[in-house]
Amino acid sequence: MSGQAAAPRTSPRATPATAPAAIVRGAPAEALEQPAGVFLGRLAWEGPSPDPETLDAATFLAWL
Amino acid sequence: MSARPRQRPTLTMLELAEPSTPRPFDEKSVDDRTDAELDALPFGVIALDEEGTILRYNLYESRFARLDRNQVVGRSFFGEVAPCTRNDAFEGRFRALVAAGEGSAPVRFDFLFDFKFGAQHVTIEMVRAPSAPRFYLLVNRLKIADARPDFPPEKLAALQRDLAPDEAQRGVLRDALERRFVDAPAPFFAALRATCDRLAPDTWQIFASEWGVQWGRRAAVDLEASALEKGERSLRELPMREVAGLVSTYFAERGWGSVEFDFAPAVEGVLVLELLRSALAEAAPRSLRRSPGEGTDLACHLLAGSLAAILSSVAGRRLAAREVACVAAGAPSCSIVVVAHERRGAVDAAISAGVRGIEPIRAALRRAPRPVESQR
Repeated sequence: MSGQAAAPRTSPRATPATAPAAIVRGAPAEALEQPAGVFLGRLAWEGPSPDPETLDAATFLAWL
Repeated sequence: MSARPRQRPTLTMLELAEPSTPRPFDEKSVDDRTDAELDALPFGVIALDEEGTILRYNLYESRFARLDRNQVVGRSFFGEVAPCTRNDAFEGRFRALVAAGEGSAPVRFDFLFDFKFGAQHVTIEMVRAPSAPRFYLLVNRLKIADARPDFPPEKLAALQRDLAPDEAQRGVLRDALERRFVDAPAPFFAALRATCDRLAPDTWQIFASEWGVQWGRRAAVDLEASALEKGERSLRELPMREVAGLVSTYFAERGWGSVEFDFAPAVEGVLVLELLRSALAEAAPRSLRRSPGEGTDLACHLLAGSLAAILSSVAGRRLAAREVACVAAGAPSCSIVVVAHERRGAVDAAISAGVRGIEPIRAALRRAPRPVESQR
């Protein structure tokens, strides 16, 4: 023990940062410059349109 | 005799959280909202009685005023907490609203809060609760500024240490924004996980996921505050790349691991998040790690839930996040899929059936029926 008072414990605050390339992938750079609300709002959240070439009939009908 | 496989509950069945999709705010209904609901709002809410004593204080206000609500509730707003409001422009309007009686219309005005750490341009809306002598201050931050050097020091809003000067000697730790925190080392989480596995091996994941969602809603408030401090914009207005960095930094700086975003499957309505060095996955004792499909091989439900809530807040629609591969079960990293809330059932069913990994889960989603009704 040094006898010195311990320094106050603090945790660093989260500071806004532009993500390094490694944090985001799979989308064009220009798309990632869109406002996040717009970007996420445009996603096909309901899923892609069904492809009758790769889906069986029952599944395809369920998608409709 | 072979043991019958146990039927494990799915997350869907017991997901308790209310939708985190933003909904229109009616200031007249603010008194009906629970404290948890007030905590999810992206603006400050302070409830006062007729004398100006603080009755309620939401998370956003606590974040920007850098005050612990446990220390402000019960105190005089004008006299102790925010002397900068002791003037005709603010307190005068409040007294007039109190005197006006029931049915009085809300009062709206711009104001400049003066704190010792800076000034904040805000719009104030004062609302009288319809059925009780409670008055709400709705505080919308417009701009963060430097402290005004010419403002009388005795009228500056209180600091946390002004309200609780001896708390450091009482075992209270604060971060740079005066939020209380607890130093929870890895063995704490290992003990928690061991307890979960012992007492609720089939259901603790549901609890953890819900906890994560609740936490994520509060984390979203933190992130919104950071966005406003940076450039007077909301999270939704920041570039997607920047929001991804903000979210990853949020978790990394708190020691949970780092988050990477893979948008390649977005055309299928799926986001993939890779969680690296997850504190939860690494806290799972190796002796308890089981093979995929046995239910306890996934460890990061808490983090998945919090990410779902944060991204729901940004997207403006309810999303679900599920861990589909975990370091705790030998995967190279922890993988989380984010889908529309309406499609979570297909992911849960696949997970319950033992499907693990991004590609197998995506394949299961492709085979799944389209949700009957999409709710935005």
